[in-house]
Amino acid sequence: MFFDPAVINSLWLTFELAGFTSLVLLIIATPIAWWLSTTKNKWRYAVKAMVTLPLVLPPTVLGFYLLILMGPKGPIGVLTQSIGLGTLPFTFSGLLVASVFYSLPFAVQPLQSAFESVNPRLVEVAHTLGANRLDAFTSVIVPLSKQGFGLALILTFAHTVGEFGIVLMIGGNIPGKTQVVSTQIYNLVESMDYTRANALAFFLVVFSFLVLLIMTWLGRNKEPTH
Amino acid sequence: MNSQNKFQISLFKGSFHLEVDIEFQIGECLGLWGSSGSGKTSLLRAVAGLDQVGDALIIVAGQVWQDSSKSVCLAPWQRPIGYVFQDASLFPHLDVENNLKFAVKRNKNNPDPRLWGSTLELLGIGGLLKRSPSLLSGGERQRIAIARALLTEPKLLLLDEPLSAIDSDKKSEVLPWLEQVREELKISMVYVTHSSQELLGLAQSVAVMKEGRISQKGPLETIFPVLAPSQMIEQTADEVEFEFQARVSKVDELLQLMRLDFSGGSIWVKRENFDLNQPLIIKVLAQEVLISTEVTAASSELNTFEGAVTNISDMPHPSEKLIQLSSGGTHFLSITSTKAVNQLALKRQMKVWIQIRSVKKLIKFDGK
Repeated sequence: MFFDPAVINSLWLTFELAGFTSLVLLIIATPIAWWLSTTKNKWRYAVKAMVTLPLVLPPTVLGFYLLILMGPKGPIGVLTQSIGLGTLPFTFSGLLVASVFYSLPFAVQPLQSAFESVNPRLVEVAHTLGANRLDAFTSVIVPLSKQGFGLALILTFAHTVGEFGIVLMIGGNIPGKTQVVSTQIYNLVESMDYTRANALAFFLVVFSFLVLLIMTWLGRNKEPTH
Repeated sequence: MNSQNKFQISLFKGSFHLEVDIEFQIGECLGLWGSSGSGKTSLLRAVAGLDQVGDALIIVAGQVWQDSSKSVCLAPWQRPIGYVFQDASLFPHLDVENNLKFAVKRNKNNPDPRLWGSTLELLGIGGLLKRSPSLLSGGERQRIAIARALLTEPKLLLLDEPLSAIDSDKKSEVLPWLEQVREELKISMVYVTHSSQELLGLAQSVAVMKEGRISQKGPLETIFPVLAPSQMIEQTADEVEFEFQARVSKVDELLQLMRLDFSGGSIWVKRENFDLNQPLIIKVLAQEVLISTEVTAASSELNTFEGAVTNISDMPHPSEKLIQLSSGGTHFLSITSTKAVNQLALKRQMKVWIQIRSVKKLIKFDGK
């Protein structure tokens, strides 16, 4: 059944979405996490709360507002239309934007705690050796936060694969275009095709287990060894 | 115009107030001595620009690093500085070689290619390049931190208690190398410590810090006598020791002795397994150093040389005095009974004979 073009399509789309989401989030979340881990700005708590919102909000709430913002009359929709991109809802790009928002805390959180666990003395040493802020960040903080980056990548990837509600609201479940594994399972169950639903669902269980296994294995160094 | 280094800093940190105005010569090593909490580290951090200071005038080697009255303030990475922290702070993700290269890559003066080799040699770390920082001894780590700081060719080297994390009997893994750095590079240095003994071979002038202010400043010879007794106060006579550098100059196969030369004289000690010309650190208990005013037949034979008294101070017990001596630039300490001091009428500047009865320990030192 994995040779079924509809299944292959949705699997491919799922991993494509998860891959792009992880990459985009790495670029967006790194400066946010770095800012949060160093700033003493009074707005940091508000920013942190904003970034964490997607963790507690039902995906329908986030999806609803994104739908309005990206719709033909929303500010983002007006912008995308004016530069000739049309509106984003029910397209892959729209799905990507929604996924990025939805998984933001899963990228920021591990990065922030990784950055915060680097001894600030090492950054000061880098400064006294002639490294400016950006240089110290790329040559000291980033290599010492490798685990955090790995964790952020895996978490956002896995979390995007597991999305359902927001994908349904923004993407709409269009086969070959915005239908991912989770929404396809929903379709299969609706049409009583339990055999194929079971196969796909089982695949996701195995996949998620493997991801968590890799994560705990990556985190093994954090346990005290002596 | 002004050829001195100048730190004029006023800083409030909660209830702590740092108020310092100090000048010292370019190429001079200034010892900054004080108990913890006296503001030594705050001063260093302000000079390095690591802490924001509202009101400061910092001039190093004629270059203004900070002048609050003109809103001039260089970022830490723009100040040609070397900063050695208490804990060495080597980058754990880099091996020794790449820790050092981190500094070389950021040296803005197009360094002479010979700088690398000469720095490795100056601190005796050539054999450690491929090691990971976690596999080094405390002394090795600190030497690499010093080399790393020097590879940026700083105009000022700041050392914040670099030996405090090292066991006292391992300090000689670092101190002589630092002396060598000062001798060879003639770089301005500020050495922060609460151990006056560390200042002995290193500092030319000393500033004493107390509650955020400089309470005393002057050349080592005048300040050290004030500090030394306060250091010894906790120590009993049999604990006071000192060290100096020497070299194996002769081996007597028959009597199984070897001669150790130092600037100012030489002594014979029991033969140990060292090569000829091997540089050594000699550790001696101050109790084992005897002073006399004339050479007797017995003392003329062994381990006696001429020197001068540089200071006499009290020990915790009134029956003893701590005598500081020097001979040819090497410093010695002796604990002598007060009775003997009176009998010999010892006083500062007096020429005396110094005899070292025994050495406590000889340590290999692969310097120059």
